[in-house]
Amino acid sequence: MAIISVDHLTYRYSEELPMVLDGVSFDVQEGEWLAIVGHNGSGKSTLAKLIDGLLEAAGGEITIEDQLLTPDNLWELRDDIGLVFQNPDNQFVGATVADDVAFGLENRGVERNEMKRRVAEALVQVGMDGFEEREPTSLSGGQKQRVALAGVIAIRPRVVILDEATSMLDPEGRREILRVIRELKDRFQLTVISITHDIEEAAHASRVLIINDGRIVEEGQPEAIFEKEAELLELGLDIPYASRLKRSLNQLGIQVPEQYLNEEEMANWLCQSLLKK
Amino acid sequence: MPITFEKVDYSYQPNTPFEHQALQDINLTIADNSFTALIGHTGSGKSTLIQQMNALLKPSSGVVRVNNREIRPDTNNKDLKPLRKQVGMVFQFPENQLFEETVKKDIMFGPLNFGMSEAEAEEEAIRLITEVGLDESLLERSPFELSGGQMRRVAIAGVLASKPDILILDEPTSGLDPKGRQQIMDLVAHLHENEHKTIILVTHQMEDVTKYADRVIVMDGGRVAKTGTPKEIFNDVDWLKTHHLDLPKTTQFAATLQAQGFQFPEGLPLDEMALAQAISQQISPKGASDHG
Ligand SMILES: Nc1ncnc2c1ncn2[C@@H]1O[C@H](COP(=O)(O)OP(=O)(O)OP(=O)(O)O)[C@@H](O)[C@H]1O
Ligand SMILES: Nc1ncnc2c1ncn2[C@@H]1O[C@H](COP(=O)(O)OP(=O)(O)OP(=O)(O)O)[C@@H](O)[C@H]1O
Ligand SMILES: [Mg+2]
Ligand SMILES: [Mg+2]
Repeated sequence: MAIISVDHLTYRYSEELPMVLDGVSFDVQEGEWLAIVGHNGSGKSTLAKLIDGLLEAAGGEITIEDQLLTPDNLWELRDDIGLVFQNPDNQFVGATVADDVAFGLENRGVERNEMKRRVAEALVQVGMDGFEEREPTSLSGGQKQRVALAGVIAIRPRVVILDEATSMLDPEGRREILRVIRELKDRFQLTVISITHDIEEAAHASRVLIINDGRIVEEGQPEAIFEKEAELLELGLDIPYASRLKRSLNQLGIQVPEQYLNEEEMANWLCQSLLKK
Repeated sequence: MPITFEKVDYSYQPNTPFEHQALQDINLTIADNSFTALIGHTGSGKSTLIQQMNALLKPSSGVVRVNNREIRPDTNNKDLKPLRKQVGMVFQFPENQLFEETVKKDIMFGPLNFGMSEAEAEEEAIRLITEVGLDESLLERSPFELSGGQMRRVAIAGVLASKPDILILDEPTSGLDPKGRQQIMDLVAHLHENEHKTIILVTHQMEDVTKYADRVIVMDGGRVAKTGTPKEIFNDVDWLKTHHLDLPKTTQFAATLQAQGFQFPEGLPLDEMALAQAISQQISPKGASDHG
């Protein structure tokens, strides 16, 4: 079932400026992990804000849980969506980390003991327990991103939208956080939309959308998208590590199978080709 | 003149219940014209360390020296201007350094402040906006009406416009698209090679460390845990593991291959091409198909 349907969506920030989204249509299935990739300024954050009802579309429709998103029901529908902003500073409202994470729960009228429990649990999940009394503004970059994420997972929304939510984490921290999201997704049937420039994060998805200058130009499973090396590079995007290595090997005259190989498949293929064992 | 740290400690919010010691006993020398990568995980003190270098933060004890200029706990904020001109800093959150009405004015601010003429500053702004991969049409836009990646590029252009000798970049490519990442890193590498700028790069991208840096400083819990060349740092796989640091992709992949019989007598390669070359000497050119 589609939990979100976007139909011919258009948006511009003002009359003098060009269209930032220009007829965008796609569905998000309940329980799927959808990655959205595209160059800087292609319209990804704008799209996220439109889905969260923070901006009002110029044209087209957004349907959430079978209800057409309108100014009348947006507050209600927004309760089911958790958006982690690209810049965590724009997300913080509380004076302390604990207040900040509690904010969304308070807004949704969650009972006090339950609220405390969920705040504590969310902070453990993102590895920020012990920071409850700190001011969010006094955290390091990666710590801020973790707290911003905690604020969203605490409300247990049906849909989380991660707008480059792991961009400032160290590699290990990023993997940890992605693991936590995956667990929550399995446990609560969460739907995940992740906007990212990180090809490995995109590889976690069940489906990838490529947006270019306000239009969707590709859509498919990660493996199918990663096959389109030339197009990805043309759009200024990344290709997976194994594909990069394959290109270097090709340059040296080594014939690697043409289809997309992930790292494990690539390693296996190379080991089978090893001359002396 | 090199940058030196001598017994530097730093505490945030000293003498309050929130006191937090973020740097401990830092002793470092960063040579002129070097390219230093600063790595370490979340909260290890990287951003705190670099902010000592232009006196945005001052040591709680110890001394930092930058181009003959001493920064001590009691250094006052008067005449920091020459220091700020020499040391350009791109912050981790670029929004925090944008403030003018238009992108153009924002990029021109530094140069004008440091005495460049209006015409020259404007020329710089026009040149730099394209260097960071943005369209000239954005010059008249408000810097706050941009996408995240566009803001970061404007912030970088603004810092470069003042032509600092020492360029400090705090995760400058986070939030940039892959092409932009390449563009910005190429630009930085160019400034290092051709204009002999000293570069200090805070990054989580180990690939960039191996590709550009000549020296690596690893931070852990507010201390310098290790310094060395990228080759030294990334060939100590066990040490990295115990410090929860990643290998560059290539090195990681090479380690996997090594475990399965490939040999890298000169150490694990750091970049794709080096790995591809090492592989090519150990397999038949047609790969597995040749010997079934
Ligand atoms: N407040 C605003 N006013 C006017 N134009 C804006 C505003 N915010 C964004 N834009 C423009 O809209 C376009 C899309 O911006 P958006 O933030 O959606 O891009 P993005 O895909 O999220 O990019 P990034 O990867 O850099 O975060 C960009 O060209 C940007 O300049
Ligand atoms: N204003 C402040 N008040 C109190 N503590 C602070 C303040 N700013 C930073 N800290 C703490 O100091 C430590 C070091 O922070 P710093 O920002 O230097 O880390 P970092 O290595 O840059 O991390 P990241 O990779 O997440 O950006 C962190 O534990 C952080 O919470
Ligand atoms: Mg964005
Ligand atoms: Mg930092």
